Amino acid sequence: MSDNPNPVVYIVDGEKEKQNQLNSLNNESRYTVDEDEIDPFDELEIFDLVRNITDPEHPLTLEQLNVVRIENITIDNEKGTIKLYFTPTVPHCSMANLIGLSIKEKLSRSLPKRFKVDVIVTPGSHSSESTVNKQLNDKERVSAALDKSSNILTIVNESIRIN
Amino acid sequence: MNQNELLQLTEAYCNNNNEDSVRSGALNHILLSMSSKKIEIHSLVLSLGDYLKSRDSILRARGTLLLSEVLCRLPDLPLNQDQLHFLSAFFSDRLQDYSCAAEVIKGLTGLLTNHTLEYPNNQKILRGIFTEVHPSTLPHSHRKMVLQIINIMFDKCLPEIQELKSDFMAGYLQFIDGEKDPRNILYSFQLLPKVIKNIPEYAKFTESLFEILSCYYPISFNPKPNDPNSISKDDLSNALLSCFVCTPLLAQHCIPFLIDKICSNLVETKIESLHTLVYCCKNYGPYAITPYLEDIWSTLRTNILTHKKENVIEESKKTIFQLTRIFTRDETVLNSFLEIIIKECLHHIKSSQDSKISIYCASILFQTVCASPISSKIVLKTILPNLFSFFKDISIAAGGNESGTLKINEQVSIIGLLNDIIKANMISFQQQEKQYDGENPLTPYHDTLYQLLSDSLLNSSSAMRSASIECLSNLYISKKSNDSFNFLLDREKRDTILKVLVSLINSTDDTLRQKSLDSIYNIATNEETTILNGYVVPTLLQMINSVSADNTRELQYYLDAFGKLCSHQLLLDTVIPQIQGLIQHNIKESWSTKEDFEKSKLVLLSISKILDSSTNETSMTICCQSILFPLIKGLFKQIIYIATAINNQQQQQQHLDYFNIICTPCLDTIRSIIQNTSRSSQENAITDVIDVYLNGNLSLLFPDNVQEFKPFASATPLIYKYLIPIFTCIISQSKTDLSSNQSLKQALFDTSLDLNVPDHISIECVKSYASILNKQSPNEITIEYFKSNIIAPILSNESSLPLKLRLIVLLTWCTKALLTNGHPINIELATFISSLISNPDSDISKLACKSFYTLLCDSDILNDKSGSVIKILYQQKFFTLMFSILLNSFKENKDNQMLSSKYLIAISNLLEHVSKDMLLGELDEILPIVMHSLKSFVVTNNNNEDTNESQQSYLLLESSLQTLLMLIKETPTSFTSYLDSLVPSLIKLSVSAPNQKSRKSSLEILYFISVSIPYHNIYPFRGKVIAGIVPALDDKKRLVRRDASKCRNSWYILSK
Repeated sequence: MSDNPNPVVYIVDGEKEKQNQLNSLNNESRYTVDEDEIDPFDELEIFDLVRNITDPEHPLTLEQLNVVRIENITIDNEKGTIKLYFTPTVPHCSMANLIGLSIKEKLSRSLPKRFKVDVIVTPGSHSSESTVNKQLNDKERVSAALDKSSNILTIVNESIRIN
Repeated sequence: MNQNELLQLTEAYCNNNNEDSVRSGALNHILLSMSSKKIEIHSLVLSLGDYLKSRDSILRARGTLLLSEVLCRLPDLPLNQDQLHFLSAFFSDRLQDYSCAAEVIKGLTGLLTNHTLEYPNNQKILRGIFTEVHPSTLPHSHRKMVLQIINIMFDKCLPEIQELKSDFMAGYLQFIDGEKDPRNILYSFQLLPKVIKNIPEYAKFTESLFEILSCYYPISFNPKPNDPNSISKDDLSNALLSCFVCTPLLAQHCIPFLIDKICSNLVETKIESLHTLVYCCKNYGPYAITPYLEDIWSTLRTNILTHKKENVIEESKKTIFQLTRIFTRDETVLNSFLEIIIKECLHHIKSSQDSKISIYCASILFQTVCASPISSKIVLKTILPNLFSFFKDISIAAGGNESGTLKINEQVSIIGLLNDIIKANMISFQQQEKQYDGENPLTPYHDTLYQLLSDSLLNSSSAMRSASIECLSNLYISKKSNDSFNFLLDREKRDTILKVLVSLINSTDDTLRQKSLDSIYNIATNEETTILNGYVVPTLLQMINSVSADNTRELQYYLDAFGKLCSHQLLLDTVIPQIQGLIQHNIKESWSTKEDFEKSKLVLLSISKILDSSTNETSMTICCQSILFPLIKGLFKQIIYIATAINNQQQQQQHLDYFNIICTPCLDTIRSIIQNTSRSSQENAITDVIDVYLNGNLSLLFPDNVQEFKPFASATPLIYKYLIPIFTCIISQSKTDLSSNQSLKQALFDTSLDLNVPDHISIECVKSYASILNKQSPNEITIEYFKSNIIAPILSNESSLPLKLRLIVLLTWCTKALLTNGHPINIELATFISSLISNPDSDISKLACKSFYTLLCDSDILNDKSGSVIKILYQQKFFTLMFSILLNSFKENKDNQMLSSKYLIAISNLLEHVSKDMLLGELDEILPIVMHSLKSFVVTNNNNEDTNESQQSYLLLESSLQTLLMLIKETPTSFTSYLDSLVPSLIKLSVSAPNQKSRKSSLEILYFISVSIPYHNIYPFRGKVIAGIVPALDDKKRLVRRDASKCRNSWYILSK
């Protein structure tokens, strides 16, 4: 049985403000066609990559569950760092590791190598925050978890299937 | 014939040392003599005596075979009862002789097929076969003969066989056990139902019978391609299925067996077993299934709740639906089956909202309610009161509790479930009406439901409200009986619902709005139009008219709502006057503000959309009578106003811009009306516009106007020519041949080449001219006409370049018109166009390339709606001819890269609109060209100078990639053999192509490769692609990056 059988489902475009902001994600004006103009990486683009990841135990996306929010993503193009805070649905969520792993893997597959990506639990949102953070940002443990033969890889792949 | 001769013949036949021809000659001789009664059977047996008794088993077999051949091949051989008795006794006895078994079986087949044996010879033979013959020692054809013998005996002497009772069953089962030949399996499957029907003792043998049958399940059989028996897997499966269901007594073995198979790991087996289960249950009847209800349910539940494959879940749900429907025949069984399901689903729903489990449970309940009104009644009886009280409990618990939002979500999902149930009930009740004469199962609950839902509408949560809206609309259209408009809810409640829904269209919450609009539409398609016209439509129109001009978002919303309602045919017919009102209101001579204009534009745009989606002839004929001319009149007024009242050049231009913008939706509207109106009203309309445009008779539009109106005359001010598209638009859609009207043709021809007329008007004239040409009788059109009027001026040095370009456009459209109706000269004209590709003037050659796009593209004329003459498969025919011409030119100019790439562009333009089946035929020609152009680009991609040549090569690259993309979407598997060179080129292009469109297309193609080509073919490239496109992740363009990450992710998770 899942830890949190009844998570709150946030309507993806709830408030007006946020809606306009998110709508701009699909707004073609963000995608310039002029060859010489450079589109820098921005928060929306990162958010676009992770919003459709699905929760391993619900048929819902991380965006719908408010696990990831655009305001919790910061990016520094010059230093090449990306920081993403994610909020597990409940403080004792045992899936937090898996969700974090999915986010991390999706980003590492989708971003150029020059970025260093930190995926961190939003402070105060999980009972064993530091353990999760440690696990997620330990390269060896991540690569062990995503070993070809591991079941975890299957689950992660399933979660990030939708582009 | 004397005995000696006969002896010689038998000797010739039986001697194994003789050649085949000698032996068959002897046999034929004997057969002929016997049929002409020169030899008696008696003397034959006598002459065979030695062989039949011989100690040499081969000779004995030969002797027996001769006798068998005689019996088989002479069906009319006269035999008396004594002889028959003798022969049958002989054969029965011979059965013990192991070495002659096959020959004996053959003889028996002949004997039984052609003659009728007396009691108890048949029994004796059968016993002999069952005890003495081992099926494995017989060749497959003889095993089949045994089955045939049994079949014949069933037909000829059933009582005699029935006397054998259990002995028969035992022998028979032993005989068919372990059969491997598909032909025999099929025969024995087909025989089995007959056996079961006639031998009641089978009941003792069901277990072994089922054991024999079940080892074949599920049938996996690959027929050989040129099998003369042409047995297919389906034949075998169907025969096996009919064996499974031939008696309900098999249920005790079959159902547990199938349940076991359903748990198999193979998806195909699972699905086939589910189908079989449904089929079996249908035939066994509900009673026989009773002991297995629990098992069946738990297996299906496990499938639905835990399986990953969507199709397994879907099939399992369907199985529940089918089973419920089958059980409807027996109410006690149905009750116990549903009781188990309801209990468990209810438990899950109460304990875990929102999770996958409860969603699946809801869908299971949906299936059970859908199945039949009776099952619906049973489910509703338990589920609804339970849900009502559960809902109430939550509301009480939610009051003042901090987990309020959580509780709301639970309530929302309950309302969602209620909605599903109402919908499912509607399906079962309204489709099965004929067998069911009770009341709608929902009847006892509709009041409570209505109350609950209208209360929820007041809830503060918008999710809750939007769920209730949808549910209410479904409740609204639930009917008492299948009579139209006999609703469960009374008029007063229905009116209230409609009012609430209409008021919600004004809501600020978009989801709520959308939901209420969908719900109104849902109601509109089921409710009388008078009720809608009484309140909903007028309110909506009022909203459209009163919304302030600067609030385009709101306006658009109301218009969409209106459009959506109008997509309901019956309603559209009744609101045509209102639409006319809208048109008159919005085509004005001038607009005071820009916002005002925008508003009119949106209104006209949505009217054109409304009429575009309706193709009904009657309603369009009404439109033709009431909308068409007021609309044209409005546009005329506008132009007259601009021409007469405005003198300032700049202002005039601004007004003309407005006119052009307004004109587009109006033309669309006119086109939809003219296309779909009845033929006679179309003819009238065309006569009228010709009268106006060519004869200058304006009085049709403006009765008191006497002014001359000659838009086609060259002296007419340009501004009036802006009205020409209205005319051409109507003429192009004519279903009748207008070619006899010379002045019409001339006017169109001249205007299309008139360089003073803007391009968009010229092209309209060209199209209109082409559409007339299309309908003209083929004998009247000659190549000379085109040569002297169009081709000569193109080639002449005296014509100016703009005129030449116009001429090429005209020629292209004329060719298209003749190509569509299959006129033989079309290919000659197209060949001329292709020759223009090598024209030194780059504008001309570019336009010629583009022409090949136009020739086959879809347009608003020359299609079946516009009454054009369309020859069947004209595109294919043209493509085959033209493709080889272009291909040859391409090959001839291979060394001239500039020229060959132009031809390649023309080819890819041509490919764009060809049906995919045709492409497949030419794939062997096309693919190498496309690959070649990709490769050549990858190799020569070093010069970054912006010369004309590199421009050209970009264009080429672009069009090759587009072609490739299109091909890969259609026939991914044909690329398998090209992957070796294709993938590396694409990787290279995706990171280094100079323009982003090409990079993006390369990534898209790579993505399609990953999802559509079989795993084992693409796996070798996985690592290469994943590593190769990394630089594209850091592309400077966001669009490219998006596709890169999509593509890379897809290659990461390649699956079998």
